[in-house]
Amino acid sequence: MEGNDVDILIVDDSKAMRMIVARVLKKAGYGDNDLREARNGLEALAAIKDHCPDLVLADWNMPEMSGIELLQTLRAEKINVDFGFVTSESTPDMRQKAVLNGALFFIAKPFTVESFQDVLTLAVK
Amino acid sequence: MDLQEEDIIQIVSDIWISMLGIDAEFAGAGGELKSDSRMLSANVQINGDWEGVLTVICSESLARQFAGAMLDMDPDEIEGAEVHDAMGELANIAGGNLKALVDGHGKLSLPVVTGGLELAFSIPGSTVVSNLAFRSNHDVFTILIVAKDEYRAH
Repeated sequence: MEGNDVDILIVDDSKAMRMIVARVLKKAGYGDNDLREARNGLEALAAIKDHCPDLVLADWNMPEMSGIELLQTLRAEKINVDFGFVTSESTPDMRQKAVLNGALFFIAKPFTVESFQDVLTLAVK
Repeated sequence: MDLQEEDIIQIVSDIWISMLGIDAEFAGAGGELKSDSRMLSANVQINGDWEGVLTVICSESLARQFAGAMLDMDPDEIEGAEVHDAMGELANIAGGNLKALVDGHGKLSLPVVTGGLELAFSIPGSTVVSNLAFRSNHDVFTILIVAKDEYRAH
């Protein structure tokens, strides 16, 4: 799994933000293949069970099921997909909670192409 | 917790240039929230050790330009729901960054977007702690922060 071959699921309740993340991923060298999208944790859970991606990039604050609830549900069901947060909130408490639940990284909004390259280079192997 | 004006200006500038590729130049104190054309506002609440509301306010035409930049589309071809979505996300990002400034333990609400010709805000027991105008694409938008009285800046 490297660069363009990575299958990524983008989870955010904002269509505008999903499009920005997809655009930045492509600029960062990822996501030449079709990037999949989900509008909340529940949709993402169904999409992951249908076809497990290589990486999930999720917002934290979403209706129906939040990003952290999605991560906790995945781990409870022993689905160990690589998972990172892309969120406007990034307090130390949230980062700690994310890591404790198995998140690989935390990208804070607003972000840059370099923000993604820095963490994905390490996270995607 | 004292909110520093320069911190808010930096946050807004960073968000607009990073997420939209559009400059947001600080233009002084925000004015009256009245316009001859339709306005949009998007707000998020922070509830916790610090409690308040951040609101982004601008003309619908400027909001449409923001949405166009975010969606990489012609602003005139964007549907109203997509404009609201983009405005809500801008408020969400700004609110998330504000939350990091004022309180690490609060909860950020989902954004609420409203529109009209004249927008009036009133939150009982609260005070405007920041009302800043920014120039963008030959128009002006406002970032309004209201906090419960016990948290207002001194």
